[in-house]
Amino acid sequence: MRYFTAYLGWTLFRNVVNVWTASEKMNNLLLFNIDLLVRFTLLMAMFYHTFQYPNEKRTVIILLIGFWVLFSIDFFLSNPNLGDLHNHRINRYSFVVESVLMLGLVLRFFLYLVRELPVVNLTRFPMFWICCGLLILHAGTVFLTPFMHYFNVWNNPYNFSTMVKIEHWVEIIKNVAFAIAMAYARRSTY
Amino acid sequence: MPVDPRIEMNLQTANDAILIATIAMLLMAIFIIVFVAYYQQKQAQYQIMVKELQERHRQELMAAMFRGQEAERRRLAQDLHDDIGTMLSVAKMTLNQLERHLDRFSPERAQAHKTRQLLDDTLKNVRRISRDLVPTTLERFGLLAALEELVGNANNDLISVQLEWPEKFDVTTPALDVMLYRIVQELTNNAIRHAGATHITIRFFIHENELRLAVLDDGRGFDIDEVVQSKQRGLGLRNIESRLSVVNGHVTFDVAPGRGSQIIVQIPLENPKLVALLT
Repeated sequence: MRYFTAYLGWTLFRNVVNVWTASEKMNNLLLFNIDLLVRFTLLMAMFYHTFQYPNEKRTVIILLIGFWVLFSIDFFLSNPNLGDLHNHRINRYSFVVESVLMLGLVLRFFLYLVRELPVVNLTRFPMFWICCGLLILHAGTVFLTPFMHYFNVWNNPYNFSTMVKIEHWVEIIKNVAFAIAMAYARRSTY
Repeated sequence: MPVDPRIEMNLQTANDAILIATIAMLLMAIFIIVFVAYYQQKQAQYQIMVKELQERHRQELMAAMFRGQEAERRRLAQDLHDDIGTMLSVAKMTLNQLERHLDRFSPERAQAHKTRQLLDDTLKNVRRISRDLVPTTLERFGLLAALEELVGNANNDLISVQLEWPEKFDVTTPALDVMLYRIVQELTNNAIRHAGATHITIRFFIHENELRLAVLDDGRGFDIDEVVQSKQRGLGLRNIESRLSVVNGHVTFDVAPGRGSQIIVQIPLENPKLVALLT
């Protein structure tokens, strides 16, 4: 829960900075890009401490290092000029890879839950709710992100309103699941 | 900037396809969550049921073991009393007759007298062992009478044992009586033999639908961890715990080296089925 709390703290910080930069009409592209790396790293750290077996922990580390490499390449390919606010495309491949990896890790954790029964009351287990939130979020955005990040630029002539709505809805569901997780983490009665 | 209608149409088709795929993914995600929650709950219930069955089986085994132990004690006591006791009595009678035929001041008569005394002592010991093996008072007159007898035997000039028994105390069954008697016997023996206690109090009471037995002494106490780890010394205490586990009871040891001990036994009374296991 330590890393998850750090993840929530980071998300709050990012949102506040976003609002501030938007109100000041400042370029926040770097923050958008870095956000992906920071949140992925924090969530992977959370999974690293959640998984029990050494080979799973090793896999998490390998995936994280692989993701950093991919992110670095993607960052430079997708953002040749961070100053060009109107024609940038935020990391085209990293978002999709993030979603696929998160779905894989969540499914592995669910498999662990049903196989080894580490908790008696699953609905009061914070990690279950965190994984529910992540599963809904990434299942809902795994097909949307490549589409949106390939096409979406500042002066976009195409209409993505339905996709944006879906993205917002899954974000809301994820946040509700995270809130439930935090509520149960405080009680620790699973 | 106007968009080419063909691109617009293709984009719309792609948009619809992605929407359908996203909805399908979301439905699958929801299905996975529901499945995991449901399956885990089922598995957890199954595990709890298996654990309960294992616990029940263990209790039945323990109960059978104690029933067997009691039956064996009874057989042994009967053999001692009926066979060895009778043979010793016959030997004593024969010796009496022989003694009468011997000269009053002869050394043979003195030898015979000494042998008769030894036989008397042996007979007393056989009766005592037989009585300890199967407390006949317990079977005939109940727990209170048996405990009074136990206390009476333990009391002497150096040791004072007190029994505190509530006025209304009719919650036990014959099977539970045997168990309580054995526990009191073990704890009293421990207090006298190992702790060197001079004052022992045995107290029975009912507290919140629970039968409680407290054995308090002023002995020199002992280190519970050391005793439990010791295979030989901890046998009696482990035996008490095993007996209590059959009826979901437990024992609390408030003990430490250099001071008196308080040992409290708690037996829940709401489950008569468990007590019936002992019968």
